[in-house]
Amino acid sequence: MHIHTQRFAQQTILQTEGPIRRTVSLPLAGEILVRVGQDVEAGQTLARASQPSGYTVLNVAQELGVEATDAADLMLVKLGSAVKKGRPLARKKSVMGVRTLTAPVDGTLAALRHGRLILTHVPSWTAIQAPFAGVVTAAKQQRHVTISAEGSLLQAMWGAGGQGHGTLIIATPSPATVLEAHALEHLMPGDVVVAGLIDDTTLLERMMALGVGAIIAGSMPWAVCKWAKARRLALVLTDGIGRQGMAPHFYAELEAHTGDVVGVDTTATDRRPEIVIPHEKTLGGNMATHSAEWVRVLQMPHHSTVGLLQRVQPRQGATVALAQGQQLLVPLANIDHLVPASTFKDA
Amino acid sequence: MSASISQAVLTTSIGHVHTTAAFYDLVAPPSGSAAPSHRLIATAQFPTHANVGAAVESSVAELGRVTRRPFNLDATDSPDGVRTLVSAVGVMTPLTVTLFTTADPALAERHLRQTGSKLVRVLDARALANSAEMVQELIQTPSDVHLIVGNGSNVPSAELLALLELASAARELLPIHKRPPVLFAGSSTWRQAISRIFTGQTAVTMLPLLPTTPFQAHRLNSALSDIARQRRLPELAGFDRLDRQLSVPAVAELDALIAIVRYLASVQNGLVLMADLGSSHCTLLAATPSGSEVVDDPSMGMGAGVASLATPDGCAALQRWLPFEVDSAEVQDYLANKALHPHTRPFTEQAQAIEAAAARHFLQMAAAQLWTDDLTPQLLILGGGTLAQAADPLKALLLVLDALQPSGLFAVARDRHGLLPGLGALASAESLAVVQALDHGLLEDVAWVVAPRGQLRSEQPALKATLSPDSAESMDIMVNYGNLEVLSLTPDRATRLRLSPLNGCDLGRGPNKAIDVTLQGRRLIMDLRGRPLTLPPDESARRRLQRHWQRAIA
Repeated sequence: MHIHTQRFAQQTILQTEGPIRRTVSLPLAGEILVRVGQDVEAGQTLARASQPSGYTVLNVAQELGVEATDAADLMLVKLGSAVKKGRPLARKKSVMGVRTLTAPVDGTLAALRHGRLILTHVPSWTAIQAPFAGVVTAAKQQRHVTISAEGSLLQAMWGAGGQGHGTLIIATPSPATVLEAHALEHLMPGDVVVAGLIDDTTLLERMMALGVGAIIAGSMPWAVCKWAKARRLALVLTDGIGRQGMAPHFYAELEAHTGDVVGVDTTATDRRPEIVIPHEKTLGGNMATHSAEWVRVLQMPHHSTVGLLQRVQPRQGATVALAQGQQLLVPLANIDHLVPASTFKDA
Repeated sequence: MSASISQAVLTTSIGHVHTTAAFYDLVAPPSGSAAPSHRLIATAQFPTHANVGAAVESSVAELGRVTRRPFNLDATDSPDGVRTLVSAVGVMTPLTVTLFTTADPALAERHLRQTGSKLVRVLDARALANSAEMVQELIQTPSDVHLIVGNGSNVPSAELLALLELASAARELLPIHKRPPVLFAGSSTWRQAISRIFTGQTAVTMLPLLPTTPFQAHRLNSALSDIARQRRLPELAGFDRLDRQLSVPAVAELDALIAIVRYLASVQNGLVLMADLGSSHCTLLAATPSGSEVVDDPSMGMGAGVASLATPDGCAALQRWLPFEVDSAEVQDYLANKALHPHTRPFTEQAQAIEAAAARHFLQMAAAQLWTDDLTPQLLILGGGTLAQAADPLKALLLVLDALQPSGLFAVARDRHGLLPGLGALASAESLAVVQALDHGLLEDVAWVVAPRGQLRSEQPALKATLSPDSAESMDIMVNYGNLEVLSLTPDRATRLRLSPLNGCDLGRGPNKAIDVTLQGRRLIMDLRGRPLTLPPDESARRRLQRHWQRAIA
């Protein structure tokens, strides 16, 4: 029973087992390449769409020396037609001779108004991939594909913009440890690296060169985040920006799935970055479905500390019991409520 | 505004972090001699999350728990006596505007700042030189509105018409439902030519020329408000349900605030200044009985907005407001993290200092954009989570004094529970209820401030204050230039006061001209730090002085 769920401004999904259902969408309608009921692997292309790679504007009226209102009558090609470079588009005959306007690029005649013609260039493709392995449970409007699976779902705080997947490898001995170069020595291409804290861009560079599938860290300084974002890495931070490392419960959940295939998705604009580990294991059940409620502190001096919610007093804050027996009174605004997906309002 | 009177009312305002509900009921005065009037009974806040309908229902349910009076928002003839539910919505994504003009865009930019919309591009004659790029921009990142602004000429420029013809051709590539509405603000002699360009595509909304002086109302504001309501409100999850429950259509939070602050300006018969700083916006509102000027910038909110300061340049700008040294990387980490969790409250001294510095920076930027230099208010209102809900209201006031540097003698109040937007939304339905609620002290008194203009040498006498409390002997207080002093007053008693600026200082009536006033309030803050406020160039001296001011106001 989650009587406090709505009282906290922030909630984070920390699901250790259960159903996962995610819809990924093309930016515009296109072609869906999978069918409902089909099993898909992480990274498999689900749908694709084309959009113009550029535009060319031609002033037909000016080029042929006519009034804008007369331009349509001189066209040799219909709106919506594909044209090749050099093909005549419009022609004017007069006593002075014939003037012809030809297509300067391959494209499609998309609009003609006020004597101006717009050609859209040959389209480029955009595609969406499955963020994790699962089964296609819905495909709608030539844009949206829903993937479902059973397993763990961990919402992250920040993502660098990319998507990746691979075999989960723990690279730091504890959730608060800084990643060091020697930990990368035995990595294989396609591994998904888990570290408490990464504070060096050269390590990210080395992992990129190695071809790792994705990177999961507790935290990184903002300067390192900016570097990763500029390269749209498949990288997530479970605990945000700074040097606080990873909250122990996230680390423990990831550690329990060492060697499993994990998907990392930071591309969605309508939800937070996520880590999905499809599995059918039962490792003790959802921590948040127990009668106890777990919360994480979001501000210094106890940033990323996880504890049990003891009491909520709307005016004073929440009392949180830590593992060492210590109790903290934390403003409600600084509490992150760790919940399984089923009770999460925005999922 | 109608002056009808009904029964109890519920106001709600939906912010990015919290939704606030307030319950006002008709209460008879103890003597029973006067008619019952509306008073605030209770308020409740709830996190907004994604669904605005659920946010309102949860906050009202919380209110029901507090008052032990269950409110049924779906009942049309409510047995609990609540007939009016209104909502101010602050979670709408700002409208994006493409401006087409061959005139100086500064005037249009000033007017757009009043509306909370976001100017995404200005297309002028230069855009014609690269027409393919212009088409690409208009198609791939379409804005919500196409605004055409003319110059003072009676004849439309050929370049502007060519620009619009190209834009009109580009609009053909967009699906009909995605074509932005077109507004034209300019000379009536241009209208025919502009209508012709968009014939068969859209009807152009014609507006008068944009005023060139501040505090002039213009139909651009209402036209953009209408578009925002039509486009943005239905996008909000749960809005359809909320819309059915509301007694009057939902109002944008900014429009609601403008309505209520303009009302307060008419009551004060002078300038009312409101500084409203929250997680999603920085709003500076100056209102007089005749009009208002607004800067509303969502990029300067204390949530996602602070990410823009997480750069070496941003940190350098904040350093001048930090009362102790903080490593630039730590400041950047803190701000970037704050952007991820806009709702969090600073807990450590360092976190509080960084957030206060960011707040000063944003308010100062907003003041620089405000279309008036007159910052001599009669009333200064602190709004938004950062200012109105600060644990220490005097520290919040100090940061506003530092950033805006208002002068003269003025009262300061805070909208501690975020009730003004809800009251602004109520104004069109129950104006009398609004007046009555405000009359019963809805705003929390923070202080009176006296801040003369002028610059003197340090420690020169700058102000003599002669106090004459009702029940005590009068007393003279001399305050030197550079000082910030707090004088406690007896809250429930009036204090007569003569304020005499010295050595050329000015309280708004001319150098050395004294003013006699009767004040009632908790305290008088004498801010003799000069206007404009200057900080020592030496870093350690500056930090020492800022720590001194913080101690002085504590």
